[in-house]
Amino acid sequence: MRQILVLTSVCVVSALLLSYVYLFTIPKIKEHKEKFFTSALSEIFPNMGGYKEVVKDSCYQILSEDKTKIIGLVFRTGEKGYGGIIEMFVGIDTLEKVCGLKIASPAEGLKETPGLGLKIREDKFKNQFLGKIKEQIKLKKEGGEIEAITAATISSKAVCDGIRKGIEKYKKYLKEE
Amino acid sequence: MRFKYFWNGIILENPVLILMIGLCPTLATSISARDALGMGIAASFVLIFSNIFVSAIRKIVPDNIRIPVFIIIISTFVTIVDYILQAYEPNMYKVLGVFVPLIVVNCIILGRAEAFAYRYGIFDSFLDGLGKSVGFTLVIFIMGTIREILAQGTFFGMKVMPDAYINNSLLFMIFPPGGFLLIGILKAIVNKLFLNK
Repeated sequence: MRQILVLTSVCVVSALLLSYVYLFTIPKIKEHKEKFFTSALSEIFPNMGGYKEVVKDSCYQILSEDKTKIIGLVFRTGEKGYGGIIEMFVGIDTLEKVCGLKIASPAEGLKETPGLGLKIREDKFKNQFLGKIKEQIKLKKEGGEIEAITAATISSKAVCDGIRKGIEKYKKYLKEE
Repeated sequence: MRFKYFWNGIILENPVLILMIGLCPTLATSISARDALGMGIAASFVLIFSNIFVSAIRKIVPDNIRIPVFIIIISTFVTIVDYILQAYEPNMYKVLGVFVPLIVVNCIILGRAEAFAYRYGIFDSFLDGLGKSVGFTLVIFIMGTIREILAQGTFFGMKVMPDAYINNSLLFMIFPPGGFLLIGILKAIVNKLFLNK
């Protein structure tokens, strides 16, 4: 009997404490998530007038300054790299060409090897994608136009695959619904 | 006299280097000084509070359900740390990732609850928790610092080594073998200095 009482009361106290902590941390957590997205969006489309979330947490229609038409799309995608998931934001314009790429930093959870796989964050690699369409985004040895980073083929390929799959998946949202 | 419970945790009963418990988070999160410090502080918070609470209710908890009670107390504090990190240090939360929830099964915490807090008073348990926390944080921070400097040439993200070194650094220090090697070296030094082996 005493065992039941003690265990139950410990659980109740713990649940009460947790619900209280949850209540006052959840607004902050949501705010951070929001900020993370908007900063990524405005980095890729500096002249955007607004955005509309079309797929929760992963795809956004970017609106022109007068908010009347869609000028592009930003989607969030993750692809398994060498050390873990490579998380990135990709912007495409209305012709389905890549116009911006932002890869999460190590502080944001990127686990590629410094000095090798981590070079995917450098402009020299990222700028290769700009203006390219889906068919061109493959490593050179697979028939595409992307130069892989020496000794970091897995990471380079993951970025290509992530972008290609993302375009395939989300391009339908480029059109007005 | 009672303060020996505090000092014990730092050297003579250092959880990582002498008791050899809690090695998994030590190896996994000591890849940079900042992550190591974050992990140390998070685990310390849980350890100190779980010690206090376990000690406070030790007289009313029947022997045969003590482990579930410990686990509930520990996981409550781990969840609190988890939410607070998400809310106020989202970047560190992403780096520490799965290792924050895994503090629940950190042997140091359950070990101290069982071996110390369940038998001693609140103040002694607090001192014990504090000492073990400082000992744990110190070791993980030293390891994080050494590994970050050797592998990436940085300290808290600031460059401290010349470019020539960074381009040819001991990259393996950031991988598990580097962690094992370093913990072995630290253990050897501590054995020589404090245990006279």
